Amino acid sequence: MRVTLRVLLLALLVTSCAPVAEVVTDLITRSDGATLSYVHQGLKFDPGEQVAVGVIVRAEGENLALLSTPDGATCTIVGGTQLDCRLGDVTEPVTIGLTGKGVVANASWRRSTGSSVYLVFAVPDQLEAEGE
Amino acid sequence: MMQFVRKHWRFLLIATVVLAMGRAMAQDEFVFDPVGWGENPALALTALIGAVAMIRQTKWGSSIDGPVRVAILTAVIGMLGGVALQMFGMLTHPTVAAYPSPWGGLLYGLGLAFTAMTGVAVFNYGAKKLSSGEQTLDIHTGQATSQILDFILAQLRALVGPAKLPAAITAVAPIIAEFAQSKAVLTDDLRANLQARLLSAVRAAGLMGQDL
Repeated sequence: MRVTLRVLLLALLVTSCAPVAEVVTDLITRSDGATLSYVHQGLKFDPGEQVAVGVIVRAEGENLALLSTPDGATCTIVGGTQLDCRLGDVTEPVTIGLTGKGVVANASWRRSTGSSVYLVFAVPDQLEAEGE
Repeated sequence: MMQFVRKHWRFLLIATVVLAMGRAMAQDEFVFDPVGWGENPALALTALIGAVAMIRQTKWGSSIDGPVRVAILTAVIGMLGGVALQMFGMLTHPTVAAYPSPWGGLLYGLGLAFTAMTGVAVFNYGAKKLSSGEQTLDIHTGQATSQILDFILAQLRALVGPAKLPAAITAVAPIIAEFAQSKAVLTDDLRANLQARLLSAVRAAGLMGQDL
């Protein structure tokens, strides 16, 4: 109960003060170079310069269909609306072949140098966007 | 093995430092030496920090977390130890031995606890500085719970950006509250589950996805 109150107080504090929100959020996440992007019929995860450990990609959308799975990965689609893809340790960019409508996706991972968990949401691939 | 080290790195680090200090101070073999504790505050301090670390690793002590609770635990153990030393005639440190029992022991224990907490605080500050900027928001809950909260907040931050974060936190406060009370460790399955739940939440809130 006390912990819940602390969290709710924190939420109240953050919601009530924009400058505080900015300071707090700066502490929460830092980009560490990995990206998840929408590509033509798929999602591409790029680990950046270091190995991404225990990578998990989740997606949600309509009529999801898995076209291909990267080597060593385990991907499942539940009910045609949810994708759960365990990529394991990723050293170079990998692409999950996927089709669907209104897809939102995110990826989380750790680094071998620490226990922090990192997270990105999928964004349109920059190279493909520039090509259009 | 690596998982154990990752999970308990702080304890292992403290234990290593304490052992090294004890070794250096003993300059001989490790011995159970309560007479030495009552005579030499440095030895007593080492024993006190070790005792607190050990208690916090037990299932009864695992809920003792945060600066206030740990300080209280340290003070209680310090006082009990000090009183016990004086009761059994082993408190010979000149500054406190002159006080009548149990006040000399209480004073000795409190002094040790204060020194220990100050030292640990300085140590933690230094450890944070050495952790390559990966420290995240610390709400002083359990380590596992705090990790989950960090993860949820990181998701929100990545999704909506600073400007809309306050509203997003309000929207997912029930999820935060649910996990704030859990003792769950952020396993892969739980991480995947949280990712999916927040994706569902943001889609329900009207975030448009992309056609592939």
